[in-house]
Amino acid sequence: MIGEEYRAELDKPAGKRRAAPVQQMAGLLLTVVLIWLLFGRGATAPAVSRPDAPAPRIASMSPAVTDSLVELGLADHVVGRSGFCTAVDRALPVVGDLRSFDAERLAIAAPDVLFVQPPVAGVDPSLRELCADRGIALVERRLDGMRDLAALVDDVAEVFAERADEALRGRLASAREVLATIEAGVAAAGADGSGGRPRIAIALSADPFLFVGRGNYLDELLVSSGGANAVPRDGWVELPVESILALGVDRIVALGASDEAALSIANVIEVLPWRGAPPAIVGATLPELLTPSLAALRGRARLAELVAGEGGER
Amino acid sequence: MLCVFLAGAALLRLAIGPAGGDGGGLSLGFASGAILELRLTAVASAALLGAALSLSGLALQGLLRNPLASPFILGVSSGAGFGVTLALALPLALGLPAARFGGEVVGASAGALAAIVLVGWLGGARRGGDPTTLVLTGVVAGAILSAGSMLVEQLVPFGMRGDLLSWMAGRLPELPSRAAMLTLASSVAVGATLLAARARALDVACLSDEEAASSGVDLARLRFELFVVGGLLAAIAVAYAGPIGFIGLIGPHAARRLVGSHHRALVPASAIAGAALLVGADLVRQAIDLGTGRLPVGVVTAIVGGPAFLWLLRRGRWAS
Repeated sequence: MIGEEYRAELDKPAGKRRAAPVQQMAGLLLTVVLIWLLFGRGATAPAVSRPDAPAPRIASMSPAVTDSLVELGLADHVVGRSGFCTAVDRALPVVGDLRSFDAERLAIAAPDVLFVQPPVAGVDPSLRELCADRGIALVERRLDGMRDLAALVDDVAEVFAERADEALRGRLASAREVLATIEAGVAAAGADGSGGRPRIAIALSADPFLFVGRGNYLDELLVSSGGANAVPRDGWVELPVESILALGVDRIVALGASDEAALSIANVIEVLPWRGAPPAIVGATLPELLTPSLAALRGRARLAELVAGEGGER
Repeated sequence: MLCVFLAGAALLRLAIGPAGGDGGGLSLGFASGAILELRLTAVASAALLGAALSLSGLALQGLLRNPLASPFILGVSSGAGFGVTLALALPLALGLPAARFGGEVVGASAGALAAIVLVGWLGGARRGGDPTTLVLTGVVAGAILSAGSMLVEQLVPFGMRGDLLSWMAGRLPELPSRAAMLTLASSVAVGATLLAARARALDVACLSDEEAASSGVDLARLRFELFVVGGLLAAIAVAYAGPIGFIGLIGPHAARRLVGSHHRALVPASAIAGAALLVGADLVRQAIDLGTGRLPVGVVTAIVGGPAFLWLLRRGRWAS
């Protein structure tokens, strides 16, 4: 224990120990490396990443924003990404994510615009300062529902402004049109009530049981596709088994990024202790629906089929 | 040796960074301008934090006369975590606007300080309480506060729980504010000075209560001072970067192996060892690019510090 160690030490003079030979060798090696670093190379500034990327150079710390940019045909403009952005080149520097950032990689990415999805407590003030110092336009956009996606489309239009070519203008207009259709569908469903619509629950995970609640983009896609969300709470809802059994659903759609993921969720739900026959349970591989991005709009038609009881893996 | 290691780690940290260009990867060579400024800030930040954690560990190992004592044994990190979850979750649960970013720091500081006061009061630190009672009080308080954090997490929507959990990984702030750096630097200076001033008493107190008393050391007062210094340094460190493990444990031991057990040499050596270890850990995370973002430094210190600690145990330094 410490006491005995001290007792042995107390008779020795302080600070007079010699380093062991291995430590001396390590120190010598380190010194050589440092001298080489100091005098052998000189000061160098890291190169800007993707120097030939077209303007405006965009960095995104949100997978959903990145997916949306790719969906709008703007992948070439992306010079920095989050670690979860899989739709762009993996060699791009990871400049941060929803909750943290890498100042150095952000500096070498040298974007004109940085898209972030702010966490609960808001954007880190030091990121805001860094952007102000380096002349980076910071665009904060929470992406929860279709209205947020429409605002993101407006953000992109504003970023490109005069630089938007015909093709981009066309894609922006098309996205606005689809988003407006969905919002209109949601409004109409709200006015009609859920009478006569199939009661659908969308499951995203079986461990824990995570379901799509109300007021988010998947709920809006479901409702605008003709279904009624059977989950009575807001957001992303973790449900105990008894609550799942009491949902009174006509159909459960298990969404996954792969066939295995979707089917494993569906299989677990199927063997729950249903009273009588279980409801229709289908697994669907729709990775584009798993982020609140413009790419999700592509999955709308497939979701409508599932709501109508067509297709799905069983 | 410690100074060479610290200087080496710092210089390598200044020299290694992302390469940029089209290929990504890392570059070796000193940067200039804004990039150099970023790296200098990172080195200073890691060095100060490492020194604070190590000094905290040294104070608590002396207080508890236990080589396994670390800053978090008093429930400081659990208290800070509880404070952060409260600061983030309560406004949401009450339907108020979400806390501003600074809310996390305020929550962490308040939680860590509250944990120290609570553990100190229940463990009888004011009366120079029994070390075993203090440790047990800290462990139990930590467990209760961790359970409190989990309870509060249930109040926030599922998608927002990650905000609470990410804080617990321990991250060096990318661009720390000047006020935060000054607070950390001054607390390290004050803590090191106080410990150095009590070096002789610490030496004697580590032997036995009887020998300390016969040497004229007021043990109750010394223990209270060590509790306050160790606890406050840990609280400030946790508020600054979240819980970062192993530095407070390994730093004092590394220093002890190199300069011996006299606190006159051990106090500055522990500060330097802690600084070197955390700058080294930051260097590792700077050099490792998994393509998924920077590793939290707490993960690096645990992965490197854990085996290092086990190696020290295997060497049987404390077997006696």
